[in-house]
Amino acid sequence: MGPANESKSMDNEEIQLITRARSGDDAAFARLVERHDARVMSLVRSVLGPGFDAEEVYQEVFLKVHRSLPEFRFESEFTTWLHRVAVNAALSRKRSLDRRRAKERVMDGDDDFFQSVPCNPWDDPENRQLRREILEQIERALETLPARQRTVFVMKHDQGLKLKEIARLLGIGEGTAKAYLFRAVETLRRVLEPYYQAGE
Amino acid sequence: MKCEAFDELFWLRAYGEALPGGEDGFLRHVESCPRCQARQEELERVRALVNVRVPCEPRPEALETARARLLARLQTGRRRSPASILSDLWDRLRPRRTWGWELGFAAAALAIGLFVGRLTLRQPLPEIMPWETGVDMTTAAYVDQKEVNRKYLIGDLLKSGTEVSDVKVKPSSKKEGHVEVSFRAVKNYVIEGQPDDKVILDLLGWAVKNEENSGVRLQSVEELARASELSPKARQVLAYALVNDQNDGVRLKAIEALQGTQRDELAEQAILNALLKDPNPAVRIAAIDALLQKGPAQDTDRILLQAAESDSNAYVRMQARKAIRLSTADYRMLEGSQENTPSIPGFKLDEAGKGK
Repeated sequence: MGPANESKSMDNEEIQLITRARSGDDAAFARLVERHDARVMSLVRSVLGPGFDAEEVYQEVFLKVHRSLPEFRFESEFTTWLHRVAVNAALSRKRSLDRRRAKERVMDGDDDFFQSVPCNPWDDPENRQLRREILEQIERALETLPARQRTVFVMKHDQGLKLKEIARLLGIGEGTAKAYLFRAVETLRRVLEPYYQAGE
Repeated sequence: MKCEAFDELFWLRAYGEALPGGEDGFLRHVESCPRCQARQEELERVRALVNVRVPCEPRPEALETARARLLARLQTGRRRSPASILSDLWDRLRPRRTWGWELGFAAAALAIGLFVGRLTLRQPLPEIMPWETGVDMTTAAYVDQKEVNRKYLIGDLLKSGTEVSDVKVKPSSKKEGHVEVSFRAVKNYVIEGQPDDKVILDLLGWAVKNEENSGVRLQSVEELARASELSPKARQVLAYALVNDQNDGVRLKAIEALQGTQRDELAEQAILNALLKDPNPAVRIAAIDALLQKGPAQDTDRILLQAAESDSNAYVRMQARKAIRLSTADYRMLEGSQENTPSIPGFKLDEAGKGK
């Protein structure tokens, strides 16, 4: 297989960059990283949850991609491949870290690496405390979910990926992904019940 | 559509997925079903709460730093075994043109047969480190530029591992009837030892300073850092690498090695220099980490303040500010009250102890 079989949605520049990077051109690889790393970092952060070192996984992902690039056959989109590597690396890291430490706090108020998306209506100072409390409940609830269930939820909720794509990235059926998503939001619904019932 | 399926369909719709049976069927059912209308209102409230969780985007300057670290690691990504590094180190010392074993033996036989006069090998001693004096390089097998014992030389030539080249034969200018045979002989050596072994340390130091291959320099720094306790000489080598090496990865590895170890003034100066002058933000951040490990010190705080105010990278500035906060908190712990906290010009604490 060669570049002739590449996905049509990969633009020419990307194909050229991949081809050059495969032959050892570090500048081309750097450009590829620049194109995709914000999304990868965000994805990794979503899968890991707060309080984990997303940059370590970021490094691991791109080093692995750099090593494996010669094996990339243009049979799938580069982003699909990259995101699959990122999700697997993040899941693997999360599993190993979860085993090693009990999370004292799931929220980290001093997260230097990430910023919230601007225009968040909850950033009104009066609502901040309540927002923080709800967010803490959500994060705690997500931490109790099985890893794949949690991952499907964050990939859908945070990253806005289609269930079909999530299923492909995780190597599961679309129906399974749908079931995971539903179970996750049902768990959240139960956890958040005191808050939305109080609002009635 | 059945009412039992409502929840699942609600969430699929909320997350922009196509509904089995279509959107119209769903909406028609909700319109005509009071139970599902009530449920929809409830789930809309849940959805609003779940949406408190907003995705986080990495800060651009932090991404920039992560990229710099990644590229530094890639530049030095090709790792080799210590044996191959030492082997390459010696390869770099030998002449480019080699004539192979057969010629070596022939030259040795010729040398024996003709009883030539003194044979001299003329290669300059490699400079080790500027601070290295009195190093016994013969233990590292630098036998060049010495008048070599003839028996030793011939014996060495006959052993495997010696390459002979540039054989020249001419009548001796010193003694009539004699002939002068000159040649170049290079032998590969493998030396094993702990990283703090003197000879190994000298060789690693030489590699850090002179080796062209950044992968070799990086691995040399890594091997030096493996010693359970860094000797003053190892710290000097690391400080040299931190200040002078052109490769970001090597400098980063050097400063990481200097973290958490007892540091002398040279190492301290190298770290401060890195914070203010290193072109790579990842190295500057590592310098901040290293300075924090040292604990509170006013000279350090002044440098941190300088970085917090004038570093070109916003992430570095932020980390420097954070470091000052932590440092100030350390002062409080040491002194027992905020009143005793030494003032850092241009830096004030708010009530929560955060820097401004």
